[in-house]
Amino acid sequence: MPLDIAKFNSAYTDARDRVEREQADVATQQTHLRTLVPEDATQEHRDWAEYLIASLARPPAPPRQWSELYHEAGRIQVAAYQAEGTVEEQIAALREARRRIWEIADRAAEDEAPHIRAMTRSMEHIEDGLRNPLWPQDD
Amino acid sequence: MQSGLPLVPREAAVYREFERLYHLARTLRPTATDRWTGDLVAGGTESWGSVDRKSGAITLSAQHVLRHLRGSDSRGGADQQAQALATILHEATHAGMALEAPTAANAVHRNLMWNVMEGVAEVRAMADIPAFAVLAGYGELPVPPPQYPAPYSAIDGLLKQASGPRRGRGSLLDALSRGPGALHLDELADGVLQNRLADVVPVGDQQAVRAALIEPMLHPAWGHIGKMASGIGESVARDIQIKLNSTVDEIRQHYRAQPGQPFPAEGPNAEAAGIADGNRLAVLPAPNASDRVDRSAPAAGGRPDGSSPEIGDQVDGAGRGGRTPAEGRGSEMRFLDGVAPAAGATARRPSLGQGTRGAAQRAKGRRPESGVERE
Repeated sequence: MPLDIAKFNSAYTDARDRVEREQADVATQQTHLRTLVPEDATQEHRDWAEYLIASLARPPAPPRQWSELYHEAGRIQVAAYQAEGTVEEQIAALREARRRIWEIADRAAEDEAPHIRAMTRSMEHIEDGLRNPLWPQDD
Repeated sequence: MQSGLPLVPREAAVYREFERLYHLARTLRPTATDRWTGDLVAGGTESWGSVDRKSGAITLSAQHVLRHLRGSDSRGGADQQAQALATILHEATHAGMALEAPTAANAVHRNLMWNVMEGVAEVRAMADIPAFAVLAGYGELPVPPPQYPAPYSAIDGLLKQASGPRRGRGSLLDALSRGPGALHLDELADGVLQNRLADVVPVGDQQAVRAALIEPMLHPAWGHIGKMASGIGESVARDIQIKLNSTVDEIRQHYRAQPGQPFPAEGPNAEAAGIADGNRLAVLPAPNASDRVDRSAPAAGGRPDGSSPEIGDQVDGAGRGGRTPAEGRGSEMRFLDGVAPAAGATARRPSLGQGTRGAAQRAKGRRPESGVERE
């Protein structure tokens, strides 16, 4: 019987939440998850499930230490979010902020640059939301 | 489709890799809706990703997403790959659900739901990225910082309030990922009901009780929370928690005092009654009707009122930071046209049986309409 990936993933989400939020017993959660892995599941799926099961016992990763460039980009993002004015003015502020964040990312370390650039991922969608509200009659 | 940006050829290795990843994302949280038409657009250098509400095309940055879809990468780049996969999970979540629920009494068809939907898509992306990366053969990747900081924090806070022994976070995330987006708060309300009120609320009263629980979730900050820092999202979740606890107490007291009396509450979608009377088309606003996804027509066409896309719908590379689309098609984008497999992309492909589901039904080579309304 193949592993029910969606069912396992959902159960893993529950288990992770119980461990992190309710300090549930890790071994108990791991035992439950193992019952969801059929004996004859493919080795690939068994490895995947066991990777997730084992991850429950790992301590959370320490908070990442970001450089000043990352924080500078964050401040630019927050300032753009707070821009007032017409829709066009808000869009212009977001665009300018995105341009500056891209520039900062170009100067950042290789492992940090993608996360600085990613700050523009939400800004891009906010621009789209301003241009094309889902329910225009609601404004 | 964004003006001037190229479609990725369906025979290209990177197209096939994206398609595989897209379906793996849907395998982790299955949904009956699929708004992606199969058109993949190589986005400009200063964008990440989006789903076009009108055409059903998915646009992903060639530089920041597509070029990193090459499986476990011994050359480094784990941070880039983590962001690329997070973008795919986020956009796959949007594409996997309808936005509206015209006939549902508890649907919220208001623009504040935009931020709720972004928060849900990002929470889902962050929750699934470790499982997704390993399942897809990309190995263990760093979990990137969540984007949409305030909506992410607010939805994460609401999930904590709605989760419990009868409906856990996994079940709620499954349901939220199925959508429709307009029913996200109804789903969270159901979590509260099942976990905290199931012993007192009769089955027949559950819709009305969920409506009562949605009310405190409609925090005024939702309308502009997308433009705020994560601390605001946490504050919104705390505000909601106080009001939600009060509503839960009120409902419990009501059923203790009047066990046979339904709790008085009306759903937020007053139009649902009109639809039930057969007046759906007369009641619903025409714009954006393409968001109401029909299972038989996942890629709804243009606006039903025949209006032209608004100024600003046309988003191109030049408009996004001074670089023209043509500049993005230089040597760094040749991989989009070639058929040489991206290194490692085919090295480890679980046989899930869904990798091409729906793809054969999609029109080959059809270009999406111009004009974009993106999520």
